[in-house]
Amino acid sequence: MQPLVLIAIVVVSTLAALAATVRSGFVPRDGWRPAVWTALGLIGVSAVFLVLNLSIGIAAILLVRFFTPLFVSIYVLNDITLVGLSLLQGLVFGVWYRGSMDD
Amino acid sequence: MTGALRATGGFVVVLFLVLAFTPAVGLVGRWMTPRNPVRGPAQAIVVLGGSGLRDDGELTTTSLRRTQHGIGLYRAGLAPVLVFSGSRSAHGIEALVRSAVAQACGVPGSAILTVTTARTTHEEAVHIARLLHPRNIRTIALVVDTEGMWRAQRVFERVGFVVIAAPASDVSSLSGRPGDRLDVARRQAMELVAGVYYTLAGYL
Repeated sequence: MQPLVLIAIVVVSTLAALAATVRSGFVPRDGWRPAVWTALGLIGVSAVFLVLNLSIGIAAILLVRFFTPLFVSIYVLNDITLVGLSLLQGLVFGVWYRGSMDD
Repeated sequence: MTGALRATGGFVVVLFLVLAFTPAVGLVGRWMTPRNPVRGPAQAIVVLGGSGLRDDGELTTTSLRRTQHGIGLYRAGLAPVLVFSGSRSAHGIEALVRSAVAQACGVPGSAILTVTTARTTHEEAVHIARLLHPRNIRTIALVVDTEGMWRAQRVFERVGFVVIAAPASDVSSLSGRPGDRLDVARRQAMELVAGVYYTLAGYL
């Protein structure tokens, strides 16, 4: 039941935004397609940053474990915050690179 | 490059929708669940560490869930010995807090053993073997979350134990809520990474 409620909410807000956007006349009606492509590109950049962040984290933790007497648990990386920060990185760098992404 | 990033983004979106809104996570969880869990009797119940202690010195949800499961198995008569693992942190020693919880629940202190020095699953296997093998304890009921059971079971078998899987299932793994499914998927992904590391390190 809960998944259906969530999906319904998102569908309603999407339709409302779509109607408002089209009626405003400020953006082209067929502009949604490049918007989706751009969004997918930004999500892709964020995913790359997430993998990069996890790889750096794991490598750093293993180096600390092997070359120092300190112990750091791998589970410190098991935090949803890293996903949010990677998304932020992806948005910033993705928008920065957007000129080449929209070629 | 652009096409690759868009394809990656599309893959991430599809993966997110599949994990959150389909039973895929449950199917993976079922695949990771031991085929023949909890067949006794065992000589000891071994409860592995679980995220240590919170900042207020209390057990984390994971640690408490495993502790309760171990206590339940002891009270059901699965084994006469209850072993709690859990290392020291800035807020206390997890194994000792678990021991106190068990004694408050009526488990006699004489039936409880603690291991406070192990920080990883591999170290737990080695240290618990040092503790139990001199007592001629070879058959153990192993308590850990469902996702981590396959790895923990193999690590303990490598140090000479006969392992009875006694997974402490998380309620969220049984839920159909998208957020719970994503949480379980995250734990499954972490276990996948841990499994790769343990394989490369030769622990499995």
